[in-house]
Amino acid sequence: MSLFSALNNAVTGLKANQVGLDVVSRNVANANTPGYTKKVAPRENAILAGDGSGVRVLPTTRDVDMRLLENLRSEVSRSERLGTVSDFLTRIDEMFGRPDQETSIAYGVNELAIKMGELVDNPENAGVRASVVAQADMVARQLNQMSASIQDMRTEAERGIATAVDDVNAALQGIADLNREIANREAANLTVADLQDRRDAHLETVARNLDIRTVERPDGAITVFTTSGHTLVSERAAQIAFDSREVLTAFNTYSREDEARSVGTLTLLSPGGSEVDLLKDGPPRQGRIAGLLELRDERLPEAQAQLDEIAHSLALGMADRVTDFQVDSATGVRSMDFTSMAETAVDYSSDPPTVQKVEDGDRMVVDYTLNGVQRRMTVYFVEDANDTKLLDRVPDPDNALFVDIATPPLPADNDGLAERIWQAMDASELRQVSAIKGAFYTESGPPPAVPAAGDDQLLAEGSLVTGLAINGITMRQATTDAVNGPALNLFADGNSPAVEQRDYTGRLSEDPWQKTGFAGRIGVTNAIAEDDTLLVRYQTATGEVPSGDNSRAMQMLDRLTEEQFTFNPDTGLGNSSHLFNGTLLDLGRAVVSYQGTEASTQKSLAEDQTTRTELLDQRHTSLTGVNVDDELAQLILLQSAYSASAKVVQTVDRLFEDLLSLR
Amino acid sequence: MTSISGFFTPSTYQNTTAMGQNERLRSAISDLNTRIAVLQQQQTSGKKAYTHGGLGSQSLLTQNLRHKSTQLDGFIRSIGQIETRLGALQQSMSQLHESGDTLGSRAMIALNTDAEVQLDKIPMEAEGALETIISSLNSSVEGRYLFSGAETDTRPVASMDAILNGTPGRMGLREFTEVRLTADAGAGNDGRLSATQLVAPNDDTVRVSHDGSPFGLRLMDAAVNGANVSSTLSAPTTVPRDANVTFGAGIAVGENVVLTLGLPNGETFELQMTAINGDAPDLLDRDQGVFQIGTTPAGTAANFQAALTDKISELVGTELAGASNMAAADEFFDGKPPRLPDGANPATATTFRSASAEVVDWFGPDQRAPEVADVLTAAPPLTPADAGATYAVGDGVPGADAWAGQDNTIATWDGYVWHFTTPEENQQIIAADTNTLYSFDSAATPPWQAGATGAAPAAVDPLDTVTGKIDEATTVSYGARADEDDLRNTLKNAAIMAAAPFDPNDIEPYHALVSRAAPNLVKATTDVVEHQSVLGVTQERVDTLKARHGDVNYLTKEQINRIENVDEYDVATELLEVMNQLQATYQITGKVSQLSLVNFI
Repeated sequence: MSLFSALNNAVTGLKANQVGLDVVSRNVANANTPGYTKKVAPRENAILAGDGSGVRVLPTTRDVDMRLLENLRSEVSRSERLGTVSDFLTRIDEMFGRPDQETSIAYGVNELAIKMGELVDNPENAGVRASVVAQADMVARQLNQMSASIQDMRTEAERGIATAVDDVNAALQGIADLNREIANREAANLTVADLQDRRDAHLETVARNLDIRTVERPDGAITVFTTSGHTLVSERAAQIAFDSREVLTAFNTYSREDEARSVGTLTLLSPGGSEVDLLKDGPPRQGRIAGLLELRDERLPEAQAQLDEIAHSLALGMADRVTDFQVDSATGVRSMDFTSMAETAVDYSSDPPTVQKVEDGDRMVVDYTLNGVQRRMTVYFVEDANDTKLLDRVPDPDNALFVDIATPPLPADNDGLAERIWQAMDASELRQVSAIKGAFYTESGPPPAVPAAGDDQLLAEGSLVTGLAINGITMRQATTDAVNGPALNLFADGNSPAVEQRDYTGRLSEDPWQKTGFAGRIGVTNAIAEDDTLLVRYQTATGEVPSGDNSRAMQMLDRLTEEQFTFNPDTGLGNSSHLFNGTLLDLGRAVVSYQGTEASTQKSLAEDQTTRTELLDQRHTSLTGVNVDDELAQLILLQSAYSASAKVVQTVDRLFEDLLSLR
Repeated sequence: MTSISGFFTPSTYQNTTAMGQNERLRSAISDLNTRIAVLQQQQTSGKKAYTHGGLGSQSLLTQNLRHKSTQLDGFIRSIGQIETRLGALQQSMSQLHESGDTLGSRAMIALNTDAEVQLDKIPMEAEGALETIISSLNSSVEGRYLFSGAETDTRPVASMDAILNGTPGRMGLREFTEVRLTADAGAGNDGRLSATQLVAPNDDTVRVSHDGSPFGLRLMDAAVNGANVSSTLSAPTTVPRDANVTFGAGIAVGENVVLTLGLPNGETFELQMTAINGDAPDLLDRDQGVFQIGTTPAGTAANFQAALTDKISELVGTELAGASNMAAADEFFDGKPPRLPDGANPATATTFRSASAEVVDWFGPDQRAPEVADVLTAAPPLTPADAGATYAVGDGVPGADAWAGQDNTIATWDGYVWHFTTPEENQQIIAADTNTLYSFDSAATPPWQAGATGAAPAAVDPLDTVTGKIDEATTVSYGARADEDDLRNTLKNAAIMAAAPFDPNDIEPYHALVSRAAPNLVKATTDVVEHQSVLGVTQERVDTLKARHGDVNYLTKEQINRIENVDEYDVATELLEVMNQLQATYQITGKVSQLSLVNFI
């Protein structure tokens, strides 16, 4: 015990308080800095050789609840995903315009029906005809624009993912670097609090984009995993690669098969050199990237599919040439001779009705009641009946039968078609088809006679199967000729003078499928745009109809407003067991309201999530941030402690003076 | 939003920091501001939402309602248009009825010689009425001709001048009538009916003979009443058609011969020639004649021949003239195409020829080709049951009698003999048997059969030529064509009264015409009224529907308003409340910012 030790103690006190003041000043200065956590400079009684010798300042630390932080990060991930999705969906919803201004595609189609109604009353009026063509063009353009917007959004999502991946990679690198430094400094017993703040900022960047979990190791470093278990940072940082495509169109789709995939995928490159395709093996479930992927591969393609369905139904609905099977009034047997008059000019009113050369995508629709249940079977004429992709392309694969018309090629006069249909029914393993196939036979005679090759006439007799009643059989073939018949191919594939217009006939066998992205390409058929009299004028077998004949317009109006279609469940409207049936107008309305509801649902989910995240964030900042009042109180404390220590030094000084003055 | 913070009671916050406090205030204020923005938008626009999503689950409902409403607007507009057109149709038909009826009844009165209306006024009046009838049939609304069926841009009826006087290269009704009269009167002005006494030893017999053509007074039957007179009629298929009337020695007064004569317009006329001795009784009717009983059968025959020839000559100037004019009018207005006597001189023609290129086409729109029973390729039927049965005669059809040499013509059974018409190039007919359309092509072999052009167009009810959609799955037909029976007959009968020659010195032929045309005209105008009442029912129906559409539309719009529009008072109240809250928050923020230790040390 000596005056020196007292002086020494006082000096450590001065130093400690200086450090304290330093920390307080930093805290106050950063009181409003996001991510800054309150720092404290802990001190302890310095003991040297068993004796207390002043105060010792320990490395500055921070007080953070790591569990809370981890929670906060996962909430941020969720928030980002929902926010991203809701943001895009709201844009789709806004694309449809205000409900009271009737600008959506559903109103566009409705307006077309109204104009068509006007045409029914005034078929000879050139102004009305022009307005119908203009409205049809408007509907086509509206579909084009929306389709383009949706593909733009997909492209934007793709680019967004690329940007997000860059951010994540930079942050992961930062975390790995900081991990090393923190471990080194920790070992040297130096302060790591500020480095930890920085590392938390990086972690937050990663969490915004991906859902992650973290584990703190004893040396102070942090290991980062994706929630699916892939290591992002341990000793070194892994990197994520994204092979982004420049521009996406409706034909660019994700597939688990690499060669079929035409959009980017996420590949995790671990420091050891191994590669993992994250989308196949543990895709991100939260975070911005997850949201963008969901948009790019699910929600936006679904919206596109809905637009395509509208375009498809519009085009086919107008163009379908419907030929009913003839019913024998005495026996109730329905029959169709596929060879009669095939390839000759379309004659709608002829008796018996005739079919044209059957092409890919033509349909034969059988409506029947079996044991009191109404059903519909559709026979599709395709190029390869065994092609499995066809099952995705028709609305109701459980009740669909595919008939091969390419091998061997079907002759121009449909020679032998009836036998092919019968064979396809006979070979079908579908329960619904097997149940009714006994009712069908060809001109070779009812069972037990077996159809002969080359049979052309298909007959159907419900009474051959117990409990079966056939309600109607029709052939539906899309016309490609604007001049013949009341059916009119008002819409075609191709909307710009720069590209050659193709007919849209609902072909099923093509690759890529013509329906894919059709909404982006639909346009009014050139011949009709150039000569709007085709809206009402057409040829029958006995010559052109009179100028005031409105039967063509009337048929189009009925197809627009009254004909019931079955829509493909890939639109998200209806599902495979409960197909969405309705008119074209119903489809338009359903699409608009589906997208609107999706947008508002996601928006409210996002809002709820944001509130949750905000609360957690507030709690976090409240616990770890700087309270200026606290700091000022601390300042007062430090000030007085400093003064006191200074007083001690002064006193010791005076004591030394007294001692020296004893001489 | 603010209520959620209620999860965290103040004691949960063990600590507060400058940042935390700041964030909380900021989010509270921004929540309030967002709410104010939404309310403000609702207040200014009056609408609950500005996107379909904003309406949530009701977006489908409001779209449905809006579609429904626009659809109803469309139907109401359609019905309005249909009503205008129906109204115009009714008005035109009333006009047509009015003038047709007036002309008809005045002409009927004029038939009585002592009536105040004189027959010589009728031609003038008929022209006036015809003018009105034609202009009614040619009336148009919004550039659509009302009586053209579906061919709304084609004027249905030619002008009066064209119909009566023809156009260059085409004859009008006047000339057409004249040509027909020449043909019917025949070269000897005897209606092609001659009576000759046979030479001895058959000089007790008078042969009454018609040349077998479709013209003149066609001999259809010769009956006798009496024991001492007999007649034999040649078979229908022979040409010419003869009846030999043979008188016996003891012929008594009152025995008679009844000749049934076919007039050109399809009427039959029974001419009764009664034997008398001495003074003739007063005969009231033209269809009765008398002949003196001679001392020998040959003398009686000679008297009969002379009396009959006089009677025929009288008939030619009266009944035949009137009937011929009527027949010309029928041919002119009903023929598809109209037919003229074939040959250079109508007076000696024995067949018809189609002459669409030489005669004014009074009806503008296309007409469905006429139906024939069949295109004959084998032996022809000799005597079908129905008068008017028509066949197209194919090439090389074995023919005898009337059919000989009539290949590639159209054969018509007039009830007693076959008449033939030479078709013109591209003349169309529909074979009812096979429902096939044939077009005559003289260059092809055989001309008829080679001209088969496929299935015939379906016959369309004129009413169905114009249709409108007035409700879901409900359409209404309201077409009319000037060639519908009632309208055409009104036109026809008025036209023939205007076109027939009127000679003030010999009113008999005109009288005979008017006595046929006037009742027909009155009958036709009655049919017009019936036609009008059919349209009236349609008018009533669409009118009722329009009212119902209007009601439903009103309710639908109300419903849309209820869903889409906000209650302005609610919004205003809420806005005020939120604004107050915001104001309070600001005040507290200001006060809290003062509360810092900084200010006190």
